[in-house]
Amino acid sequence: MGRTIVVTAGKGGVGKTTITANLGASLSKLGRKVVLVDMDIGLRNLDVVMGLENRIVYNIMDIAEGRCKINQALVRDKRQSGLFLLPASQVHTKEDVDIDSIVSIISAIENSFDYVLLDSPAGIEKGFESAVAPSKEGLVVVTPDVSSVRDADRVIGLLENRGILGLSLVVNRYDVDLVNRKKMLNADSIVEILGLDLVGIVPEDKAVIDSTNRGEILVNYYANTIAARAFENVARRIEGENVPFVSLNSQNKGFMKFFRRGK
Amino acid sequence: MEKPAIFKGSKEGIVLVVNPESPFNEVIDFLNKTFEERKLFFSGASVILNPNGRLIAEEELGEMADVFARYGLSFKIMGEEKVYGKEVIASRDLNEEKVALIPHTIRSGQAINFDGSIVVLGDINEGAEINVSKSVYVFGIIRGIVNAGESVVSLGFQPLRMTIGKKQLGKELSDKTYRKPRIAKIENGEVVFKVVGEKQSLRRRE
Ligand SMILES: Nc1ncnc2c1ncn2[C@@H]1O[C@H](COP(=O)(O)OP(=O)(O)OP(=O)(O)O)[C@@H](O)[C@H]1O
Ligand SMILES: [Mg+2]
Repeated sequence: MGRTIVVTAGKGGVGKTTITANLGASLSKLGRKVVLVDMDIGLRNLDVVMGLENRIVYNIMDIAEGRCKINQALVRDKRQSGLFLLPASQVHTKEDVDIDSIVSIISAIENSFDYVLLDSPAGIEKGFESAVAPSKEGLVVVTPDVSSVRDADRVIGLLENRGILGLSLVVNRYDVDLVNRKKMLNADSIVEILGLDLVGIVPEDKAVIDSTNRGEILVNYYANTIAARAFENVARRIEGENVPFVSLNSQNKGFMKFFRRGK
Repeated sequence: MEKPAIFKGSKEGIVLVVNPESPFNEVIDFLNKTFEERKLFFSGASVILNPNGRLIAEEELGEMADVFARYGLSFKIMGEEKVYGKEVIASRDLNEEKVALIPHTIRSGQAINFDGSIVVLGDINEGAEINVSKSVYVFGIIRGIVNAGESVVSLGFQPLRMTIGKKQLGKELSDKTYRKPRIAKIENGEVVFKVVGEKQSLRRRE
């Protein structure tokens, strides 16, 4: 049975969708069979980030409401044959979702994939609940600012209450310059506050937006950028590999402290 | 069955039997009210949820988990393994003092209310709130709000707000953030931060 992981944050716009797509593509490059589920019902985005918006026929609400079979709704990635998208509906709202039927759809899918990644919407309301209910593990995304860290803390508490104890942390949009000028929190203090297993630090990188605008996943398109390598390292750490954190800046020795703790 | 739910004792622990007919918000209200009134009775207990034929939706489970967590409690569904809510691992009377152990960090949005003292194995993060009638012992750093009747012992103090007895520490706290173990208590009507384990001197003070 596959691992079902919710990618979540509490705060909006911190990179949940970007990370879902890039982590999915990286896991698929490592030979895993992966499905990405867009749980942002009514505000779908993952299809655009993957450049698959024109290939969507059915979506998860069509499955939930009996209009199609699961296989009919899955869209295969343009480049990775082991990567699939299960799109969200754009014409429904999060209130229309019956969480129990989402849970049963995901548990049916789990059997045929190594990874099911659920891209959670912003907030902690019903959309968050629908993404969390089927999940067994969670990847929490933060940006290096106080409000993002506080929202993440709240979300981690809610995930723990729901019995989701396998939780990891990704720090996204990390800007070493701003951290050095103390305009951003450094990774050490974020980990100290949240107390989660850090599986990645992804730098701020213009290539992310550039590839998204081209309808390409960064790790598929600009695989040599620093952000792409950081995404691939997240995948390898989630796979259990002990990938050391390379210093983004030689001045900042703090990075060398982070190694993935064994599960 | 008139009430939205009832608690029953059994040899496996406390069983919560829900009324399949009651609206779900009444079940939630019942839980909040019962936990508020009988905190100590429940602390440390493992509650088993008997849905009694009721279909409990995933989001309703999440809502129940939050109520349990707010009181440091957890539950399992009858016949299942997954634990919802939070766990207070033990609560004992030590020399008449009621002490509860909370084996995890208390995070933003979580509150603990306890008549007695608590031991926290973790931090109290910003956005979390603790209210106890006696003392708080924190094996971690305080970043949130703590209101204690007698004293606060912690490995680090960076609280947003802290009250000991009737004395609230406001602004002056910003200079008094410690990254070392300290005990905060009232002496001569003022809050003082003392080194933990500091010996009392024989020398008479002013
Ligand atoms: N590492 C990065 N470097 C530069 N830009 C980034 C990075 N990560 C994400 N972005 C950009 O930030 C914006 C928000 O990202 P994304 O849509 O993935 O966030 P989200 O958390 O899914 O947002 P929402 O809460 O709206 O669903 C996008 O424009 C994306 O291209
Ligand atoms: Mg998104």
